[in-house]
Amino acid sequence: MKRYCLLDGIILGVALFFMFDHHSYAEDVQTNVPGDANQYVIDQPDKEAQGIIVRADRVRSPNKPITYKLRLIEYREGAKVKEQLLQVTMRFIKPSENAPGDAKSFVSFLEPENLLGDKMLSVFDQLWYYTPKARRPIRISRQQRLIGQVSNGDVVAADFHYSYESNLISEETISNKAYYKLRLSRRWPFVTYPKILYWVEKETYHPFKAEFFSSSDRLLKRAYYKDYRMALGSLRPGEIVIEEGLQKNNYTRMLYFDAQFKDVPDSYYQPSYLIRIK
Amino acid sequence: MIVVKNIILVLIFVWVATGPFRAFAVEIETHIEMGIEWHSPTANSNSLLNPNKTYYDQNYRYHTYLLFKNRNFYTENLSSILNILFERVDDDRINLNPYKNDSDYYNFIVNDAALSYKMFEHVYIDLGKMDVKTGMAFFKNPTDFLFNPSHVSRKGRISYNGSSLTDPYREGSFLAKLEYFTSQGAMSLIYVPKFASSPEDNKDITAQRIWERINSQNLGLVKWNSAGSGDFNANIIMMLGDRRGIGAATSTDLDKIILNIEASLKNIPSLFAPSSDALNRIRSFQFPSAGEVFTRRDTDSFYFEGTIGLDFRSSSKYNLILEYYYNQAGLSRSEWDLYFDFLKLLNSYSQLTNTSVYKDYLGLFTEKNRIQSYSNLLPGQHYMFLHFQKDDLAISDLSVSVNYLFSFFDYSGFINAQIDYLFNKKWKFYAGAGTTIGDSNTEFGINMIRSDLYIGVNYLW
Repeated sequence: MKRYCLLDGIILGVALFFMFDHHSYAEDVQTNVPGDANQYVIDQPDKEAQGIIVRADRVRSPNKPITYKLRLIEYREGAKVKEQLLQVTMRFIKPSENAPGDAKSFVSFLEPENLLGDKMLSVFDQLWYYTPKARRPIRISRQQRLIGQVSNGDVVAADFHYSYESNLISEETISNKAYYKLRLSRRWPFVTYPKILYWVEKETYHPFKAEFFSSSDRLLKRAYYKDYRMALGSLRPGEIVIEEGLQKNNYTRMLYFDAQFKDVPDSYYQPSYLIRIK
Repeated sequence: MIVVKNIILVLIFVWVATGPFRAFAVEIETHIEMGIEWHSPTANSNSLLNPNKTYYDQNYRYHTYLLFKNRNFYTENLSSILNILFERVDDDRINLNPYKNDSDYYNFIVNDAALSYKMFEHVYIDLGKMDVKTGMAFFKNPTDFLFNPSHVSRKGRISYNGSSLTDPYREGSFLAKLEYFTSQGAMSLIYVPKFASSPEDNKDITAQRIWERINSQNLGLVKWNSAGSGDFNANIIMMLGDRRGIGAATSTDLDKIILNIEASLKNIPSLFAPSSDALNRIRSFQFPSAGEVFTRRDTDSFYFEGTIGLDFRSSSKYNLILEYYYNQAGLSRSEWDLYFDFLKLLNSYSQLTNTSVYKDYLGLFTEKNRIQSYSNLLPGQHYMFLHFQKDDLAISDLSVSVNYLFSFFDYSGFINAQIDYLFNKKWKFYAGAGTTIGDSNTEFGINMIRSDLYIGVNYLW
């Protein structure tokens, strides 16, 4: 009798599967978004600011799926204290009239050795962490820090246009170069930083500096975009330095290298798949 | 010296045994973790389970362990996983080891040994011994239907009775797993065949062993882990076969706080409550058999189990987890009263008479308490779990953690604090202390060990 129950259950399970998976994989590949992703199709009230932020975003990350290595080096009082090496695979696609956008990535920890096998997944506002010891992915918040001044959100997000409403507040000249100065306010509570001041070079749209603030206007971090070099077909920052708000000697260098265009199936961007990623 | 010799022998054995797999592998990930811990436990002489330290009286012990972790990739589609634990525990608790009866014992346990094959782009098949863990809560996972046993050795470091986030000592089941991924989620079909005798086959609680819970029943699991429903990504699991059940788990981000909810309705493998009839017979100087001292829960009935928890992680590296756990199958208030009445009677009769029969009865309770401790089964109905940690998630030189588990039945509990220090990428030092809270007739106060101090060092190779 119990064998029949097992068989019945498997049939029921398959039926459940098709019930949940009511639209085809081909459709998913076309849209590349989870169910409620249309909310992320966005528009900026300040059109000039929108043009700047979109171009600056494209300097940081192309509008195509990519993979790259990221070395994080933490310094305290100017001395190197910690280091991590990550492999990041991401798909940040801006929304268009024809298709909504996408914002997914996963991170494999390559160094240090005691973290080998650990993975992190970001799907829009959701963040998951998998460690072989835990045997299952666990949900984590974006505020949690990876190392030094770098939080999860800093590593898995490279798009301000999605997450922030931007306003052009002035133009400034720093070291004989002209910069746009933008004020960014987060659109959704899950976004890591409530406010950002962002400097973008006027001629090239290269991001130069960003200051991250709490909701009470306290300076949390300062980021510098440096070492512009050819990667993925255009000049991009090879390094981002993130300083602690009031402690300039405490900072973390984020070094980007081995960037390639690479897409993986949409089904890889889910918690259950983390255990399968090499 | 003999420990070192055994470790070397185990390493050689594992290396040779895995040679054919490594020979064909194009990519190999192998790690060996070795460590030694020194414990200084304090026996609980007031415990009703350990009167006058009859069953436990040890003030020093050590524990050596070696974890071999290997993952090989042979082709783009074929990989294998092998996780082995070898340990030596020096412990004087009578019949402590669920595998052997010696006080000093060795364990050689294969936690995982499985092949994984990617049949198509989105379809995987796994075959072998694997620990399949499900659930979103930190402490207790009602949807973790297989709930394979964790080993006893380092349990006290995390929490006294409960499972932990990073317990490396979970032994897997032999199973076959088919997994299909879509952008909307993952569907898994798992078959766990019966190889060993079932706990239900044993009438006598003393015959019930932990290892029998691995592959002791024919089970089928159907899992659906949703991934396309925005913030509401529920995991649904169904268990069929010799035990049945259904469960669901979900989590949501409430801006800096993760809310985890998990619930299931299922048959339970075995849970024993003291028999009032047996107590009355002992009161009238009769001698019920060992199998009559406890009554078993109806294994065909469905019991509700649920966990609701909040996980708060601040940007300044603090992590606070608070979870409430409910288990309908646990002992009710009247059953706890009966339990303590039983123990008090056996204690007084064994002191008044010369016969050993009452000590033998007491041994049954000790055994039951121990089995529940190993198997992560909490005997009561309502618990609260608190976890505090100060560190980064991924990497930290210094980590401080405190765990507190307490029962709503009598507000007894267990608290444990630990400090971990990473010397460098290879060496880690840790130290901690734990103690039960509650007097001798409370759920945690009856434990044979009152407190434990420990230090350990761990090397990753």
